[in-house]
Amino acid sequence: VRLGERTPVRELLDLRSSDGAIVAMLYRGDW
Amino acid sequence: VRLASNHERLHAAGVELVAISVDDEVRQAGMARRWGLSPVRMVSDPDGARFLRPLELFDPVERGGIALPAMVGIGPDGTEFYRYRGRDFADRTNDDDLFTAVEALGLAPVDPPPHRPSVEVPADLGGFFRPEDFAAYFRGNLFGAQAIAGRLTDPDARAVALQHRDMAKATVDAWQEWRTRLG
Repeated sequence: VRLGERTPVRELLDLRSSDGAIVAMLYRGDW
Repeated sequence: VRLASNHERLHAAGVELVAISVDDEVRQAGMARRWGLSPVRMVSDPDGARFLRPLELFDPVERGGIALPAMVGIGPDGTEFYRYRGRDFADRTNDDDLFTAVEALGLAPVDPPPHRPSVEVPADLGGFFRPEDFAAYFRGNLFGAQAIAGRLTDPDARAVALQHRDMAKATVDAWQEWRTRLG
């Protein structure tokens, strides 16, 4: 995946408030 | 819940946490309130177009399309350093692999602000999974898996049952710790 494009990876990193890494937990919802 | 209860360890390893589902923001805000999930940024991806489908972690059939139970770690340079995909709704791995992968990155600690939903939290949380039911749910899993493991003779099948038991135990343990913090 190339950064700089609107990729899910880029979008995930944009959710951070820091320059760290990110772990996304995907859940089925409706809890 | 397991990861939220360990958020300090993840933050110390330079990792921020997000949770993604097809739920709308109001539903997510209610769940986060009920479960005290402020260390986790909740992200709504209703049709899966933004994250779930591009990550190939979307089940288009069930309930009209929902996330597969999964965990994805992305390093600061965009490298995917961890991916776990559950085989089914009850398949949630132990987190040791994740912590090992995270701590191997050797990143500086982060201190993200608590997540605050951008929508109003529902006043009535009656329709949300109740925290007091959580331990019973996973204790049921634990003892069911333990009993089934005892009946199985095939080593591979037995290993699957014991893995499920251990997952349930880890979840109950994390919940007890989390509950103490919630007060």
